Amino acid sequence: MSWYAETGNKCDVVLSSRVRLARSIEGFPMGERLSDEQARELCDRAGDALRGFDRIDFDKLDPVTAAAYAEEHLVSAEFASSKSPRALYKSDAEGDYIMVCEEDHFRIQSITRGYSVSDAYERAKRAEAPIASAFPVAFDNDLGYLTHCPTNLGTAMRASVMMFLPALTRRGSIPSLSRQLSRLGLTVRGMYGEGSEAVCCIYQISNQVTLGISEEETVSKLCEAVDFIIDQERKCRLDTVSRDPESAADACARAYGTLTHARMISCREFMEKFVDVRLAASLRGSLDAGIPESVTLESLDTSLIECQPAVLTLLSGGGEMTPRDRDIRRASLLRGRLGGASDN
Amino acid sequence: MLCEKCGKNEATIRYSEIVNGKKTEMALCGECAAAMGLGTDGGFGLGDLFGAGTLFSNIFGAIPDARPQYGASHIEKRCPVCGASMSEIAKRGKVGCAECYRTFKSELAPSIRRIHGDVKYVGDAPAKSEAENQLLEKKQKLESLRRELREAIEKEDFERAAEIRDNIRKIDS
Ligand SMILES: [Zn+2]
Ligand SMILES: [Zn+2]
Repeated sequence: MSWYAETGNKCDVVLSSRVRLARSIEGFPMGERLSDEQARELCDRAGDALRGFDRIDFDKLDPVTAAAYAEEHLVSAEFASSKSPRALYKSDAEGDYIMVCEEDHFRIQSITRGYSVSDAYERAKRAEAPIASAFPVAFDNDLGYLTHCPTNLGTAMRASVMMFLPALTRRGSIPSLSRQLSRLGLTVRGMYGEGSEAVCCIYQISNQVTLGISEEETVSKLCEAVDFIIDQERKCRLDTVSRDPESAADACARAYGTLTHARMISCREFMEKFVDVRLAASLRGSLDAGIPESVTLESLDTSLIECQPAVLTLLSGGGEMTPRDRDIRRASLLRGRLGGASDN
Repeated sequence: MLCEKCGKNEATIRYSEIVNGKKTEMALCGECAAAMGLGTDGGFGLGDLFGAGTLFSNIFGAIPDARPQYGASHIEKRCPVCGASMSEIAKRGKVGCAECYRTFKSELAPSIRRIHGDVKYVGDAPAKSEAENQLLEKKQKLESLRRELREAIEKEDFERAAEIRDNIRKIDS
């Protein structure tokens, strides 16, 4: 099952947790210096080490399928669009996704639903083990894991949480939060590209510092900040609702009406309305917007992924689609997935 | 803290410069940093890391051996594994392979310090392969047996010494 369709810890605020480890192999050039033959050798040898994983050769994949993997946040956008030999080894059941020949020879990524960073870290370490025993991993006692880009030296680890922060966004708290986090060696990024955060209120919080801090410390530092943010976001949501329950319920109900009755809807409009519906679905006890019980956080997050252009195109059979075609298809998909009042 | 250049805006970027071995530090606002050719996001652009930005190239130029300084007649040092030279690494902001970090250790050190601060690695060491683990285990076992053997001989316990010697032969074969 895909990560977004599962239930998880504190999903009202945290969509997913992930840990990524970058690993280079001694004796192999990196980046543009890696020849196609050497890249294929790494991909093939990884397959011998990674039993139980499915291999997908991205250089042979059609661009829409490749882009869909990036929209599901399973691979980076760079990995999805590059032309050189590279492979993804994936285990959907475990939530492990290993990119071979991304920027580094190996990028080992573990994704878990909801708030569970330690779990994601344990899984990433487990997924790393067969690589570390099959290859001479490049390591230095002073610099740690040796990566293509010096900014990742050290643990070469990125621990991150994808957070849904509509209340803090609307209160205008994100810039100051971002400043506070940067003092702690953490960063905030919009999940759907530059400037998108104001629309869909989804952010990725991750560690920036990798040298001079251990893996465990990185996880606990991130979690300390995330605990605080979860607390603030929840308080801020309740505060907004209790101040004017009618307006809050009205906004959510209207958004739900649009998602379940529109006949054409753009990705941007969908994301705007998505925010209020997800907010209502996570505040059921304190806000009555008349949204059916069947509309869960899991079904909403699944629709968030399914409404992205490449995934939507694939779901429609993979043939060529104009933006208008997609807007029509998106609306019908939403009526099916979220509608109680559907006539479709 | 206020920007040390304009004295008006909140400083968001700490910038340090090393010229002729002398380090100066400044706290800057985004605007002033941008005016000085530094990334407005306060981070280092990839090209900036090793000297594409104007100020960074000044810093970099102040570090000896960072770039070939003796014209075409100067033979550049190259990484034995990937063939990269320091000027190629500086241009890309990325190394050519893991060995580059050893080949250009002293040349890369200032840039790495600038990114990460003056810190050393803390964290897990890589897991050893099965074969390496077995080898390590054998080595440790032999070492401790040899120590026991020396002790037995010192105590003139030759019966015990012969026993240990046989054990060593068994493991070593
Ligand atoms: Zn200023
Ligand atoms: Zn090299």
